[in-house]
Amino acid sequence: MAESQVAAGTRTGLMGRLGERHERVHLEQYSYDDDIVRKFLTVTVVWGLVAFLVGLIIALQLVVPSVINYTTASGSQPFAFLTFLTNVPFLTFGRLRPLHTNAAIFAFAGNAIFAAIYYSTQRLCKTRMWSDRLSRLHFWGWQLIIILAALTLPLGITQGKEYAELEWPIDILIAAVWLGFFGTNFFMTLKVRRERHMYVALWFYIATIVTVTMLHVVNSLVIPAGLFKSYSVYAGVQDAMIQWWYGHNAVAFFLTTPFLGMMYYFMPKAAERPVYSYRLSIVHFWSLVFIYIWAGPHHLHYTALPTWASTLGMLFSVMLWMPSWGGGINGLLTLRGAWYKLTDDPVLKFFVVGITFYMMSTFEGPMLSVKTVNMLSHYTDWTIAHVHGGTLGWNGFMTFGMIYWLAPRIFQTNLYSKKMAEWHFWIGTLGILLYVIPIYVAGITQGLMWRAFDQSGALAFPDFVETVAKLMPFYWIRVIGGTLYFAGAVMMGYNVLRTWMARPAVYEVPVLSTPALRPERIVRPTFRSRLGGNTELGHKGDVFIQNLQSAWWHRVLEGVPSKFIFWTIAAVAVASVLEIIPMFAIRSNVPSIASVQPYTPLELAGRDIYVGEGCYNCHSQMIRPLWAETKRYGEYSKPGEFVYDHPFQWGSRRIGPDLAREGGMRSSLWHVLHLQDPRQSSPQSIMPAYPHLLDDPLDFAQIQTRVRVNAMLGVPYGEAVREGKAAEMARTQALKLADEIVQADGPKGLENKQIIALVAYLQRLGTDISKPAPSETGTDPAAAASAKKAEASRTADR
Amino acid sequence: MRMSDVMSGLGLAAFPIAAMALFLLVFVGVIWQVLRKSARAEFDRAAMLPLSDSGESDPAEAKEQIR
Repeated sequence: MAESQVAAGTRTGLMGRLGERHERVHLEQYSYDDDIVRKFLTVTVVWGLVAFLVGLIIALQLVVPSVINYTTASGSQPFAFLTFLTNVPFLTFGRLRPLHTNAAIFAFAGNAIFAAIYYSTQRLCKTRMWSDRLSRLHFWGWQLIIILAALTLPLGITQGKEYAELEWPIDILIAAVWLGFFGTNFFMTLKVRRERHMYVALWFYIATIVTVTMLHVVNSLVIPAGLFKSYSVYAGVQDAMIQWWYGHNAVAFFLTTPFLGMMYYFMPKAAERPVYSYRLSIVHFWSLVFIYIWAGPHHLHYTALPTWASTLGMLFSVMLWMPSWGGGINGLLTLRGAWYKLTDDPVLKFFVVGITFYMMSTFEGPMLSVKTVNMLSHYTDWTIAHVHGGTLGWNGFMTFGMIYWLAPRIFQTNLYSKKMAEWHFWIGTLGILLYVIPIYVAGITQGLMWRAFDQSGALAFPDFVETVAKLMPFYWIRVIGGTLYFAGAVMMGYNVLRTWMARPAVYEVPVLSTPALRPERIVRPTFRSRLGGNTELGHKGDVFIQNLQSAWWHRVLEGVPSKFIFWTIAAVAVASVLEIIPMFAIRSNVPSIASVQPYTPLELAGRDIYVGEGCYNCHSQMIRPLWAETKRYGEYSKPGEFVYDHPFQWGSRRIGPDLAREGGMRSSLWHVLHLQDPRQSSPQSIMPAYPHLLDDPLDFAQIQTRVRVNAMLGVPYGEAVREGKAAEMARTQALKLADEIVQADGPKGLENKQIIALVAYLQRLGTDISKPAPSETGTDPAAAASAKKAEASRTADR
Repeated sequence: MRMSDVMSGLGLAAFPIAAMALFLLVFVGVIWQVLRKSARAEFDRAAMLPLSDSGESDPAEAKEQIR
């Protein structure tokens, strides 16, 4: 059956070539839109440079605080001029780090994906993009989003969820541009294609578009409280689950599947031979689509997430290793019999090292998702090293390779300098190694220091800052590695610029002709049971098996993109829904704690500042039930403690200590002075200084709206939602706290400054669990104690 | 009454396990389907698609050129 279908396919091809002799075949003429590819390729280079530069700045910010106070024998401070990197509000690490990640993922990798898709889709479908106008709308819309991100993130306008920081108006724009312009254009192009078989790269693109839409929409559901502020509709554990379902799958479907599509198209192009095994590429595709979507909870091991969810995440992560390596090997073996080409082709060098980094990252990822490894690696630089191996190595090098391959073709001239591209390759590779190796060492060093104990059973390094100061040499090497990688990208920028300058006055636009795709009628074959003397069920079963084997149904699926898309959506959506629903559905997942109460209006305002400043980029709020953590930070975190946290702020990296039990640990004055200049109280600290919080006025008027939005989301604010009540409560609490600071010989006049709200919030963190539960007749310590005991036994069961 | 109250009454705890089994089954089906022998010629043709840039040529031609 399959053979006859192929024969039919070949006949169609023959008829195409012999069109003039066959009256029924009509050749259609068309040309490719390469202008849009030129546009996306150019901005890929530009935004890449921006993303790497911001990365370099934030890498510097982690080392600069350790030298700004360095004084020479003659009394001068040679590095004092760098202080601006630590205390200018819009340049602080907490605000720039999201800018770096967003620029690298959505601006650099994003535009690279679009360049690849617009180039390859047209050629694989033998058609021009469906709509030139939608292509342009997509291009300019996406650049607008990037510019809005570059403006809002340094201003502290953020939703406070990693890689999903952009506020709701930009989120809406993203959905419109991604699905409305890009998605529509792409799917309509598939519909008008002239090649029946959809090449595997297209499948990866489909999965990308469909899944990113779903992830983005579900994770960005918020209730706005003004144009620049919103609250996630999810809270605490559920928000964490949704966020890491998003975060993990953003890596899968933004940084992996589209780049695999790129690999499956451009690697054969550069190697001038077909992919090693097309069959393996299909297995690769379906394995990723089926398995990846389940793996998100591995970001939340030993947190307040239920054990079953994180175990499921771990299992599926380990399962991912095989298809990933299968795909990687498939990419590398495309060079079979042509390895000699590597020696003088920088494009292939970039691809081979890129794929090697893909394989390293996809081995390391499953390993890090194993709970016992994760216990050590989580919250350390190990994660940072892992991520940069993937992005600098896989995404970066695949993009560079593609750019060097594409630039001479779309600018219709020779590459300005192949030698410079070779240099870029070697400098870039050295840069990656100098980045990741010291950061691995830093991660493991810090992880081991956190859990080290002395003969008496006490923590060996009780002062957190000791474990940070130890990392400074590694952080310096990272700056060097980052500089090299950036330098390589600058060389590429120059190379592409000079190539562009040598372009012809008018680009040649070849006109191609291909017969239109005629509707293929797939006849469902009829089968008869091959079994003799069997039950009715046996005969039916045999017919069913023959039907499956003949695979006529799969050809139907491939021929009609809408059905293929439907099944892809089904695969990712069903997995997602079934993974997430129980999270919301099973009451025992989040046992409520009676003593946990909503934040006061002032604390809520303080929390908004905490989110806006991006404190979560360095401070976690999640103590895992591990000896070293409870010893250092106190009682481990319970799911019920986060029920009013819109959004959750668990964090993923501890550059500073965990803050889940910060409340009441230190005086309010200490917090004020520490925020004003962290190095006053802790000379080795690398935290930015926030002197502006002591001057900037707190906007009491807007607190009312924010309390109401939280009330709308189910936070029991009671009286506080009444007009004017929230501001009044906030002022009363602010006065009391400011007075306490003055009593302790602190600065005066803080009662209407932003810092008072932030300190109020910090002093509240993690304190509810040890308070008695409120009851209608007043506090009843006995009832509270028994409630606490019940909670403790319940969580112990987990 | 909150959404989670409604949903907690539905007894959905068995769903992830059922879904996992379902997924595994479909996945095994896909693998089996891909690995069947008869698909080879079809896949060989598909693999040549990126290499046939000029609109009218059949992918098989491009393959001959390489050999």
